[in-house]
Amino acid sequence: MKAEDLFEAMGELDEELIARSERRVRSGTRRKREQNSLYRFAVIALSTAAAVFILLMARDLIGTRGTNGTKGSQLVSQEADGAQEENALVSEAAAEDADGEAEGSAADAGDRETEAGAVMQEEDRKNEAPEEAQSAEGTEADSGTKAAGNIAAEAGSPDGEKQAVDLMGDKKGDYVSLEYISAEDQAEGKSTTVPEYTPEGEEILSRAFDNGKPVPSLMAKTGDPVYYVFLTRENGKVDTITFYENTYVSMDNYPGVVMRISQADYEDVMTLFR
Amino acid sequence: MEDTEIIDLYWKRDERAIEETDHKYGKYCHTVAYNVLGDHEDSRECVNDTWLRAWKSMPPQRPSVLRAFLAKIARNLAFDRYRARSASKRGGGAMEAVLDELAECADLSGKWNGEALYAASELKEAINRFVGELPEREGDLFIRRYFFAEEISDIAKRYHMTENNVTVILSRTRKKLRKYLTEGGFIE
Repeated sequence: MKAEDLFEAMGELDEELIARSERRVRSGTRRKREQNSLYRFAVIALSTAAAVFILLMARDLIGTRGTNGTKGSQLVSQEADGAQEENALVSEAAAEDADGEAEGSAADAGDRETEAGAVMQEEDRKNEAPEEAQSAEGTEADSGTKAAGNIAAEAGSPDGEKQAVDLMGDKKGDYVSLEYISAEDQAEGKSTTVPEYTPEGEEILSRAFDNGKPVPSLMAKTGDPVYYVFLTRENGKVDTITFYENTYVSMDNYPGVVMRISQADYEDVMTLFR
Repeated sequence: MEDTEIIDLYWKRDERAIEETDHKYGKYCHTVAYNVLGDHEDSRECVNDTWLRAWKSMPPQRPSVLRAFLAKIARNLAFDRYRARSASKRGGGAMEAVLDELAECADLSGKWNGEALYAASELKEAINRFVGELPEREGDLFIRRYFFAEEISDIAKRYHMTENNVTVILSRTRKKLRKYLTEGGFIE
């Protein structure tokens, strides 16, 4: 017998044997494919999870550093320029009503009072305003720096946010009077002036507030870069606000409120001070 | 189309049977023929001969596994064609190596038992029994190599084994076959 005869004889293998062998091959290949798919899926899933984890970690790290860096640069900038820099208007309101008149910001104001000890100032406007303004200067500078730090967080979306005049409009009903003293005057120990608003000023402010309500006693004019404004409530409490011109600030006493004093706003407000 | 439907077409003498068979098993049969012949042109002709042989076989036959049935026809026709070639033209596919390997079991320097050769159908039965009794893996490797004449490397890939492993298993199986044929009186 030759090998060829044997090979020929092999050609008469039972079809069932051949088919069984083929089926095993196919099922083995399928199993292997499934295993490979499973393996690929596991690898992809693990890789994705790892990538997401790393991204989240990176985001956290970068986010923390980024925020610190922004705050840091703001602080440096503020310190370099001096807390009382030109063309800046920052407001800082202080104390809340003891009688619960205050809104949701009361807690924040209280916190700030505890923390800084000077942000919220309550005093007799007529007798102690100059001293208050004096003592407030350092505090306000710090607060201004703080507020400037908040600018970074808010600067991304200033448009559409409340403007200073809007804020003042919102709050005007809370106050019966408002005083102003410039930083320069305050440094020189001058008394706060208590100007009366002009009819034109009232009109402009009313238009700006877009509600037409009468405006309480208002602040006086100044060309100085920093303005301290004292708003007196009916119960005699005074809120101090520091304005820097042309900047975005968030008011610690009014969380979520961002205001911007534009040159146009400034001009409007200045009109009130004449 | 299902195999049973294709077989029905053959039985109805519907020529679409060949079209459907070619569509479903054309590549498969080409591969089977190519393993033996190692030539695409010859393999294509062999596949066409396969469809003709299938047409002639059904009816009366009604194969239980059409795929294996066609594989057998293609393989055997390819081997006939292989043998019909002149010796100088041989050397296609894995056939030379396959025959060399089978020679270990068959070429016994003239010690071939003439009676057993005479009873060729008994030999076929014996081989069927032998393959049927092999462990699954060995039987599968044996069929891939000595029925389909596949390359060792292809078998190794198909079963996720090393080529050496396949070679060793095939060698042991051939020794078993030789012993089996000797005990069956097919060789002395």
